[in-house]
Amino acid sequence: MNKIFKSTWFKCITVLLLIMAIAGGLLAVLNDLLFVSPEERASRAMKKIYGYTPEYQTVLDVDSDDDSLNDAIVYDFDGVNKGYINKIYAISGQTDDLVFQTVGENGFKGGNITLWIKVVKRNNKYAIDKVILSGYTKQTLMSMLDSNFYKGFYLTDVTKEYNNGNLFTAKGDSKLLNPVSGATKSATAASNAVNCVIGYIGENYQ
Amino acid sequence: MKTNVKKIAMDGVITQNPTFKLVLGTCPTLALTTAAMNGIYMGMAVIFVLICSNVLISLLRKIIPNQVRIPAFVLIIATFVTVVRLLLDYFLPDLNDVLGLYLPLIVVNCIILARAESFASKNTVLASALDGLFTGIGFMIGLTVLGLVREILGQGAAFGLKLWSFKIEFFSSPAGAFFTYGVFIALFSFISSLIEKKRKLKLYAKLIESKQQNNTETECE
Repeated sequence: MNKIFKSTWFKCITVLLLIMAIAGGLLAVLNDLLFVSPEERASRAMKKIYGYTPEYQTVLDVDSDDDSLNDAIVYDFDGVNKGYINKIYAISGQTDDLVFQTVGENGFKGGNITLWIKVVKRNNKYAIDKVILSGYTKQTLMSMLDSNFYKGFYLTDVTKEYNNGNLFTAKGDSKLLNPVSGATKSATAASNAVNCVIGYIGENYQ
Repeated sequence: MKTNVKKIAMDGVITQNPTFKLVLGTCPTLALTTAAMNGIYMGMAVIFVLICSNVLISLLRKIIPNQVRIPAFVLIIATFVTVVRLLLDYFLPDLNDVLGLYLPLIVVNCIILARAESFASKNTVLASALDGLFTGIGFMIGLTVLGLVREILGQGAAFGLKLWSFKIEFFSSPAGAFFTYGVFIALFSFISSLIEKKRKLKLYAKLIESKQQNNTETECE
């Protein structure tokens, strides 16, 4: 028995297990202390959009893991360009605003772009008032999509655009037509994300 | 053992600069240097992980068996990277979004594993902490300078502030990152070889001088 305790393999396993146990314990405690709830994440997004956290009601809240995505509102525009809405919040109080989290697919290297989109009601018309980047996967040139790029998605009458079949396309922006950089693909994914909102408003708020 | 702070600092920042001299941590260097601020953020995350992992590895250097040192180092580094991620997600979520995928990739960053293997596992805690600090600073300076040049040329801005509308988009692209990085490595090598040459010439001159002095002394005798 003494021989086992003194052996190298026993020492190796013990040291590794000890480090693992201490690291695991530390991370478990920190994970519990620093956990950010979905509500907190939503209120952070609201703060980004409004500058403060307004009162809101959750209309749709789907986690981004694969199992829950079946509940998301999916839009397939032409078989290639797709996207889905996974969060909708209705702002209560003085406004009839809607805040969407949408994911646009078919970006650079098949990745996607997630946006926060604020839709406001002005003179009985729904307008896209703010578009903020929330996250992305596989895109490498997101710095090229500056704030002016996102301002290009602002619309004064979303329902009218939906009825006329007007959807955003990255091809319209000549500055982003750069096949080497892949920025065009990223712009396409962002367009798909915004088009999901146009589809949702057009279908539900005529 | 006396800690030579000056040597550790010079090694970490200049003579063994991880970005331009050792060409380590190339993945975040190329991908994140679209803006100067990204370099500072990434550098700060790496400094934290480097100091913490170096200190712990130095403390455990006599306990960790040689056969499992690499898995043990990776385990320790991964723990601190996860701590950084948790802290950033909680306190600075925007920064967490900016660094994105490159933050967990610090685990496999060669700089950290190299310092753990070549320095922390053989030196005292204080020396290892200082090595982590200065190597991290060297990495941060490298990333920030590269990011600044790419930001100025590619976006016409510096540290997020717009300077002019002129921009060459090539510098914002991955190809531009490789090009700028290559130019910087060449410049760094050129300057360090010039300094080395000067140093050698000085040494040589001193040697000749002392030899001449010796000769005159023997002649006098």
